[in-house]
Amino acid sequence: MRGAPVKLGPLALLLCVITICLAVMALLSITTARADNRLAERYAETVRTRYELEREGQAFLRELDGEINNGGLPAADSAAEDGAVERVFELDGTTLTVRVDTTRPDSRGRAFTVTQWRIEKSWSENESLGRLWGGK
Amino acid sequence: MRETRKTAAFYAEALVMAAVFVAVTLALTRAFALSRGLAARAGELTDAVCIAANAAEAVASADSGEELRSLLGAEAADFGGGIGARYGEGLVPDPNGPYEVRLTWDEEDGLADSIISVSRDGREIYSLRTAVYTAKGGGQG
Repeated sequence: MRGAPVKLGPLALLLCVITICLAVMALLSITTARADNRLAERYAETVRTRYELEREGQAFLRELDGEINNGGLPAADSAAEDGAVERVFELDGTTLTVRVDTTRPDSRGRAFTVTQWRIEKSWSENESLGRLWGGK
Repeated sequence: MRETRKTAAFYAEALVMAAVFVAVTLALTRAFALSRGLAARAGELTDAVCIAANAAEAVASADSGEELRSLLGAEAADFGGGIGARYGEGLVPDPNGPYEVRLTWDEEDGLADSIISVSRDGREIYSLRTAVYTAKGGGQG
């Protein structure tokens, strides 16, 4: 009669369960950390784009001030109506719309008043459902 | 003889089990360390972006380099030709804090161009560029 085969004991089972739990937690923590990192990088890029647009808008104001002081108006994206000049700047899907009233000087000594300074990010709805059932 | 064989088998099984468990634990420890590093980097970047955005708003509100220095707070000082300040972990001004923000103020014809960079322990984390038209040059077109 041969000896009984060595069986997987309770300790082995426990270690197996612990290992599986640790592996699942490690996977979840890496996934979450990578998502956090990606989100932080996207936020950083958005802020950089926003201030780059701000810079372009401020340069436009200087150009406009110079043109008005020299007795003219710069070429703008929209025709001047009642002294209003509008220009749109675009960078990485983000737009800055600057609208100024050239008939009123402002309190900082500039020959115009900024009436609109709007930053928008173009957004389109993701209509794809991936592998989900579309209901048809 | 049979008892000896059973004992040897038991020890062999225990040894293999322990080896596998140690190997898996080591691999998982590396995975946890990697995720900790990624999370720390994300936190640092977010903090740096907040500090840089605050500094950019100070630039937008300033009319001169002196005013920018006063807007950044009492701790703002000259850092190698630019203006700088230090911040602590809670993003509050702290002269001994780990975050350092440096700003340049290059004014030409009323347009002040500024490069803002945030570093931690001497390593640059984030930088951005902005400008403000102060109208002091009268607008040279």
